[in-house]
Amino acid sequence: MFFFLFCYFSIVSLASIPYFKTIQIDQENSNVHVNVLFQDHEGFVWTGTDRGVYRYDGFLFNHIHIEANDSNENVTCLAEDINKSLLVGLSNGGIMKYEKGYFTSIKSPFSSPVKSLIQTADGVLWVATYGEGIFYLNKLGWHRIPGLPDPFIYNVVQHPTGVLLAGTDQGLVVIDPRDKQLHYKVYNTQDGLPDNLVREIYCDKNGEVWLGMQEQGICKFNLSSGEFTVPDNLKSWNFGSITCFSKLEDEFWIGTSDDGIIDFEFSEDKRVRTFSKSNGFGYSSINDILRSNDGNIWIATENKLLFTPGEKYEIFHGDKNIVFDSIHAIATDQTGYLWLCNNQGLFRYDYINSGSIRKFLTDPKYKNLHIVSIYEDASGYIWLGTFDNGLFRLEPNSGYVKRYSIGEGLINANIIAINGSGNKIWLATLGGISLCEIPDDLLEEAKGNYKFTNFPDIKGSGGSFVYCVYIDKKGRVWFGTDGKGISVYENGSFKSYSQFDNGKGKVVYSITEDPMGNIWFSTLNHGIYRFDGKKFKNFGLSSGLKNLNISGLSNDRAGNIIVVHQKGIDIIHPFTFEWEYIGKEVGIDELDCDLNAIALDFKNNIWIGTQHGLIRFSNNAITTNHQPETHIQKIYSFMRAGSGLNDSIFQYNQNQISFEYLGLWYSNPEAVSYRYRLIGLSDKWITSRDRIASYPNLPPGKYRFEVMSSFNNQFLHPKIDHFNFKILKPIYKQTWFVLIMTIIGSIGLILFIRDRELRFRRIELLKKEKIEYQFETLKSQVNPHFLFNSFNTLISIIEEDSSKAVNYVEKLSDYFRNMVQHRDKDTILLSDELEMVLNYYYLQQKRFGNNLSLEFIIPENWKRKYQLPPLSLQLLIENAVKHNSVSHESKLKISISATDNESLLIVNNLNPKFYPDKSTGIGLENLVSRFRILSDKEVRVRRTETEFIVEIPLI
Amino acid sequence: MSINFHKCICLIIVCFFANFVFAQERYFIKQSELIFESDAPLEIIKASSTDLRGVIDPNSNTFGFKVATLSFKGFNSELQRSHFNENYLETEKYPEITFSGKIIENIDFNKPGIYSVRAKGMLNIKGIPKERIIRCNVEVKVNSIELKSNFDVSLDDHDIRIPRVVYQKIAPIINVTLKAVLQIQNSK
Repeated sequence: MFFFLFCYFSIVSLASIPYFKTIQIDQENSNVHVNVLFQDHEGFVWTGTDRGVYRYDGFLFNHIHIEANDSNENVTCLAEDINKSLLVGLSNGGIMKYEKGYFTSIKSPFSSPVKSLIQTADGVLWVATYGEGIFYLNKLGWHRIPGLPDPFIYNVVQHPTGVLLAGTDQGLVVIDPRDKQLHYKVYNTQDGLPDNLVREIYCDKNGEVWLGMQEQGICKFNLSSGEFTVPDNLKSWNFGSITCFSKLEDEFWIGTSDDGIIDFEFSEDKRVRTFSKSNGFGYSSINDILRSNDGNIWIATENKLLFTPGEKYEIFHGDKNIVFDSIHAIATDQTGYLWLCNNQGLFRYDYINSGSIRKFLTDPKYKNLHIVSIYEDASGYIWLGTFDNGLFRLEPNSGYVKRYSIGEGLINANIIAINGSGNKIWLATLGGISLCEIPDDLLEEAKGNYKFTNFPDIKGSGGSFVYCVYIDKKGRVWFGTDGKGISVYENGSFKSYSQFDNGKGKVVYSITEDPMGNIWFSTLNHGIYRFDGKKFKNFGLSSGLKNLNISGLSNDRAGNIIVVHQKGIDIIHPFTFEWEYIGKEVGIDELDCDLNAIALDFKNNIWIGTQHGLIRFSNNAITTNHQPETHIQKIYSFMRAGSGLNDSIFQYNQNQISFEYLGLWYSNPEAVSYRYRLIGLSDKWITSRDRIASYPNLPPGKYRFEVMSSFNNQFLHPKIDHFNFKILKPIYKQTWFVLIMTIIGSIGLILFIRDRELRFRRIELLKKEKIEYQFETLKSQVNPHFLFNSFNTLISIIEEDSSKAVNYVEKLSDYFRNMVQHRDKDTILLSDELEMVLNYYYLQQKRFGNNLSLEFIIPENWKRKYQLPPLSLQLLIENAVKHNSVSHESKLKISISATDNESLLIVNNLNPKFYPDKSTGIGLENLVSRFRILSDKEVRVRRTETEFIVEIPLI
Repeated sequence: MSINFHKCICLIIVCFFANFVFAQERYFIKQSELIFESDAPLEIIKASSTDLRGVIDPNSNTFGFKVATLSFKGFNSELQRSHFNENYLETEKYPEITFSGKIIENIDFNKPGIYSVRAKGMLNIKGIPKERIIRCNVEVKVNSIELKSNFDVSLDDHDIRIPRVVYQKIAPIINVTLKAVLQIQNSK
C-alpha cells in the first residue's frame, strides 16, 4: 500500500548566534565600563576600563590600581613597549608604564584622550591623541607633528614597512617616522577613500591594511599603490559607525556604535551575519573586539565583557515558528541540506544558503509519527525509521512518501537505525536486522517495491534488539546490539563479539571507524572500545572520557573520533589518543541527545541535535596541539610572597617554598590540570589540579621547579615554565664561617695559654718576693742590733722594775710571735698590723723614751675593713727608726694617717744619722713590688727636705 | 575627553557670541523648527521649538547651536510639558541643549546646491556631553543656507532615567527633526 502526499511548505529564515558568555569584571562594581581590550606577550588579556586596568587569568580579574596624579583611571588605550612593558593611555592625556608590578607615569604635554601608543624600534614613543594630534617622545623630549589635517586621531598603527598609519576625521594619514622632516601623506575621498572619517585601522604582518569608517563600512588599502577597495557584498553599508574590528584569516568581526557586531566572511560564501540588539545578541554599542591568540573572541560592550569561542561552536535555536528542541534524529544529505526531526515533525534546513526551514510530512496522519532515524540513500531518497510505524521512504522534491511495515516484509516496525552503501540498505530494528536490496532499474526503484531479507536473531548475529548499524571502508557491516555485544557481517555470515573485557561491552549504542580501520563503539556505562580486529581497548573515565552517558559516536574527515555524551563532546585524536573536551565553556554542558542525533556535513562541520537546540561545531574547532600557556605567578616562602620572581636565593630557614602557577586557558580554565616537579628533590612529575605546590623543609641545595599544564590531562605538547633557586646552608655550615671560627678559636686558645703563663709567672714572682721580704724582715728582726738594743733596754728595765721587765719581754715575745704568725699570709687586717706596730713601738719606746713618737689618725671602721700585706707598716716604721737618729735633740715623729682615697700616709721627719746604717734598700723595694702584684694601686714614696712620706694603698 | 570638548565648546561659543575681532561672514539662524518625537507603544509625544539659535562659520567649517529647553511647545498636556521640563530635562539646572563642533565634509558656500555633510561635535543634554556625528542636508543659496536633518537621541546616553511605570509611554530613543534657515551676516 502506498499513497501520495502533497507537502505544505513553510519557509522561514533562521539566524544563528554564537554562544556568548558574560564575564563579570568586578564583583563589587557591576558598572565597570570596558573601553579597550589587549592581550600581552604572555597571553594575558587586559581590560582598560573607566576604573583602571584589570588583568584576567581565566578565574579572576586582578584590578591593578593606577596611582595617577589626579585619580583619573579612565583608560583609553593599552599597548606594550619594545621591552614588553604594558603602556596605559588615559582619557586626560596621561601615560602610565607598568613595570615589575608598579605603575610609573610618563609626563606628557597634552590633555586629550590617548588613543594609540606605539614605540617604534628606535625607541621613539608615538602617541595619538583625540583632540591634539600626534605626538612623539624621543631623547630630546616631546614633539608634535605639525599641520595634520585634523587633531582628532582615532588610531595609529605601524605597517610592517615601518610607516605609521593614522585614522583621523579628515582621512588617512601616512607618516614615515624615519623621515627627519616627518613629511606625511593624507588620503581622503579625493584619493578614493570612501569616507574621510577613519575610525579603525587593521594591519597584519603581511602588510594587509583594512580601514573601518564612520559611514562607509570597511575597505582595504593598498599602501604601495594607494588604492582603496571595498568588498563586493559590503558596497552598501547600512550598519552604522564602525568602532573596532578584529580579523582572522578571511573573517571579520566588526564592532559598531549602534548596530552590534557584523560578522563578515569574504572568502568563500561572503556571508554577512549581524549580532545586535534585535536578533538576540542584546547589545548594540561595541567598544572593542579582541581575538586572543587561542582563537577566542572578547567583546567590550556597554557595561559588559563578553567572551565567545566564536565561529567554532554555534547553537541554532530555531525561529518563531519552529523551535529546535527535543531533536530525535538528524542527517545531512548530498545536496547540502540538514534533515532533522523532533516532536513537531520532520524538517529540512538549508544551512548553507538561505537558512530556510521546510517542513515535510505535514499531513495530519503523520502527526504522531515518532521518527528516530534518518538516512539518505545513493539515489537521494530519504529513509525514515520510526517507532511502531515501520519505515518510510521520502522523495524530497515531490514529497512522495512510501511506507513499509511488517506487511511489506519488514522484520519489525521499530526501526532504530538505517545505514547503507550502494544498493544495500541495512535496518537495525528491535526485532533483528533487515536488509533491503534496491533494484538497479531506476523505474523499479521509483516504484519502491522493495524486498527485505531478514535476520531475526540468527545464530551469531547477536540479540534481537539492534541499536545501530555501521558500514566500514572494507564493506563490512557492524551491528551494535542490546546484550550480545557487537556483530559483524562479512562474506555472508555474522560474527559476534560479546565476551570481551569480562562482558562489559554487551550493550552497544553507536559505532564508527578511524583512519586505520579500527572500529570504535560506545557501550552502556562502560565507555568506548576500540577494536583493531584482535583486541578490544577500553576508554573510560580514567582515559579522559568526561562522561559515560554516551549517545553517539562519529568520525570527522580529519580522522578524529567525536564522542557525544551528556556533559558535552569529547574529541579523540586516533593517532596520539589525545583528548579534547568541549562543554560548559560553550554552553553545551547538559546535552541530552538521542542516538541518531549526530551528523557530519560536507564542510566537515559536526552537527548535534539536542533537547535544547541544534549545535554545529566547525572543523577548525579541533586543535589538538594547542595547549595552555604555563606561567609561574608567585613564589612564597612560608606563605609570604617574595618580591617577584627575581629572588632566587633563600636562607636555610626560608626553606618552606610554595609556587603559584597558572595554565592560561581561557576556553575552559577549570579544565586545566598541572604536572610539576622539583629537580633536586625528585625528578618524578606530580599531577595536580591545584594551582599551588608547596615544599616544606627543603634541605639546602640547588633546585629547579618545573611546571606544565594541559587542558585534557594528557600533556602531549606541554609548555613548561621553570624557576631555578638555591637554598643556602645555615651559616654555621658554610665553609667560610667554619674557617673563620677555627681561626678565632685558635687565637683565643693561644691568648688563653699566654695569659695563663703570665699569671703563673706573676704568682711565681709574688712567691719569690714574699720569701725575699720575709727573709729581709726576719733578717732585720733578728738583726743583732735590734736584739742587742732590746736586751740593753731589758737590762735597764730589770734593774729598775722587774714587773715592767716581764711586761717588756712579753711584748717582745708577742712581737716575734705575731711576726711569725702573719708572715706567710698575703694580706692581713689593718688592725692586726697596727697591733704589731704598737708592739714594736712599745719596744722601741722603752729605748728612746719620748724622743720617739707615733700617732695614728685612722678611722675606727677602717681597721677591720681594709687589709694590707703583713709587716708593711712595721717595715716603714722600722726603716724610720733605722735611718734616723733618735735623741733628745732630734726627736723622731712618725704619723700614720688615713687619706681620702683609701690609703695610709706614713710620714716621719728626717734626722739623718751621722753614720748611716748600711742599707740594702731591699725592704722598701719589696714592699713596692708586693703592692704592685696584689693591687693595681701604686705605693708612692716621696722625700722632701724635712720629711719622708710613703703612701700605701689599702686593699 | 570631556574636558577637552568643553574647551572646544567654550572656544566656539566665544567665537560666535562675542564680538569678533575679524570681520568675517557667518551664517546665523533666522528661522528654525526643531521637532522631537517619542514613539512609545502607548503614547506618541511630539513637541517642537522655533527658538533654535546658532551659527555656521564657513571659514573654519565649524558650527554652534543651542536651544532653550523651555521653548519646546506641543506635548499632549500641560502636565506632560512641566513633567518633561522638571523631571526629565531638569530645565532649571540645565536650561539649554547645545551642539557644537565641526563639519567633516567640505561645503562650497559660494556654489549654490545641496550638500550632504556630517556634523561632528558634542551634543550636550542635561549637562551630559556625548560625541555625535550627525548627517545633515545643507542647501546653499545666495546669502543663505537651509539645513535639514533627522537623527535619534538615546535617553540613556544623557542619563535621562524613565521610571518603570511610564516605560510604555516614553520611547528610549527620541527622534529629532531639524529645519533651519541661516542667513549671512557680516560681523564687525
